[in-house]
Order: sequence, then structure tokens, then C-alpha cells
Amino acid sequence: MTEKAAGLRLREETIHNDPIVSLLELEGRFDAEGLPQVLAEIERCRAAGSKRFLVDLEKVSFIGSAGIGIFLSLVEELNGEGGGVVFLGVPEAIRRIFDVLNVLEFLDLRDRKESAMKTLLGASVDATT
Amino acid sequence: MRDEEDPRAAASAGSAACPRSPDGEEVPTILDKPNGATYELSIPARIEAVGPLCAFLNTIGECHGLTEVDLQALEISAYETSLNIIEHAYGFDPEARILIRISLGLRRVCIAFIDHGTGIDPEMIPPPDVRDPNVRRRGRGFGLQIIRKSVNRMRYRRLPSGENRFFILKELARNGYRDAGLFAMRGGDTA
Repeated sequence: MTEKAAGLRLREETIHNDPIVSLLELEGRFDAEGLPQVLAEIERCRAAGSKRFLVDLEKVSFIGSAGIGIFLSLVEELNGEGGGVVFLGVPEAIRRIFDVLNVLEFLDLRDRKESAMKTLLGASVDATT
Repeated sequence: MRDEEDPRAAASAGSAACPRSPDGEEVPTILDKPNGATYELSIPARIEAVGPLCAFLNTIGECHGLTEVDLQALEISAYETSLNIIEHAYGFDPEARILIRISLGLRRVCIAFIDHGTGIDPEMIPPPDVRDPNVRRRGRGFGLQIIRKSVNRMRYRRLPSGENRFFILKELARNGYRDAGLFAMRGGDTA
């Protein structure tokens, strides 16, 4: 778990290898100070060949519009490449912001990791990781 | 009389629970008003100053008994407004400052943001069309829409002097205001 930006901790882990699924676990405030750190991690995973991201927001207390923009942009990019992004454990306060922006229909939000993995890997794959 | 001139108020403002500005100045500056509370602070127009502003807003909001939902709406609105000023009005000028005045009343909270940068009327900026994949792919331009949807009213004025004033007003979900004894203020409805 790294802690570069004030108030944001970010952990990345490859949780499935073929295809690669990257878990991004964020904790704390995801504001403008944390953007470079998250962008860099996403870029690093993308460069390593990951087209599937599980973004765990359960412990995020705040997210700004630029953070939402990064996620929306990632969703659009990966959908166009046959990949995908699933958001896990999205707190109610963050759901409200997604809702006021009318972007909920473009995002895949899940409460359970198993369900998120099935979505990312396809229903036929037994996602027990 | 400004409470900061009162040694008792100064001691209260300097308590451990009272945050400091990024410059190390004690905040809040409590303005004495007969029927409410107004806090005024000046922050550097820098990204790293916005987090402390949010923390400050949360501290006084909790002291006044605002609900979590109201506080979250105010926090995200203040955050997005400040970032817009830093980026668009001041173009990341590290020397620039933003004056922020937070007025808490019985049923509403009003926050005024005052800057001297390039004036941008939010009324002239249309909401982002999120149905357009290009808008989503670009991933920018959502801040003002969050503000619009999070508060009940917003207003912008540019004065002939070149001063920009942006106001946001949030009606409270219930009568959340209470006298925040921590800051030695009187309760009441100013808004």
C-alpha cells in the first residue's frame, strides 16, 4: 500500500493472469492531489497488458469530479478494447455523485467481489480468486 | 467587533480542534453577527490548500450539527468551486488567493468565493452531455454540474473592480444548526 498523495492510499494487485485483471484498491480521499498517483498506476497496469480493472472504492471517503472523469475515461477506453471496469463497494455518498452526473448507467457497480470477477472474466469462468 | 480581537475568542479559535490554513494562520476568523455565524478565511489558490479547506468545512459543519448528507454536498461543492478558481480563474498562479466566507443559518448555508482572476460565468457553461461517449472519454467538465446538482442555488457576479464573487446556497435537510460552543458563537438564523 503506497501513500504518496495526501489522504489517498492506493494498492494495486494482479488478481487474475489470463486474462489479466488488475485490482485497484483506493482508500481515503481521492481528490486532485491523488490524481497523478492513480493515473500512473492505471498506465502501468495498461502497459503490462491489463484490459480489465476491478476498482475497489469501499474505503474511499471522497471523490472529486476529476477522479470520476478518470474512471469514465477508462471505462470508455476499455469497452472499446473488449475489456472492462467494475467498481466494487461504492459508498452511498459516491453513488450520489455518480447519480447527479447521470453516469450510473455507464458504470458497473457491484457489492461482491465474486460477482465483479464473473462480470470481468465472463460468466463461464469460475472466478474463485 | 471581530471576535478575533477578543482574547477569549482567540483562545477558542486556537483550540486543538480548530484547523489551520495552509499558511499556518489560525482559522476560522469569526465575524461577530447578532443572529448567526460567519467564518471567513483566505487560502492560497493551490490544489494542496483545498483539502484543508474541506477539513475546515467539515469541522464547523459538524460543530453546527449539519447532517452528513448536507455536509457532503457542501464539501464537494466547495471543493469543485475552489478547483475551478485555481485552474480556470487563476491558471494555477501560485501567488493568488481565494477569500471564502461561510455563513451558517438555521435552515441554510451560504458560501461565497471571492477571487481576482479571469471571470467565468457558470451560467454560460452548458451541462456536459454524458450520453456522448466522447464527453465520457474526455473525462472533464463535470465539476460545475456536481455543484449545480448539489446546492439549491448558485450565483456569479463580476464587479467593475475585477473581483469575482461566486455564491452557493444549500438549504439544510432539517434544522441542523446548533450553537457551536467550541467556537463561542451565538445561534440563530441569518440566511
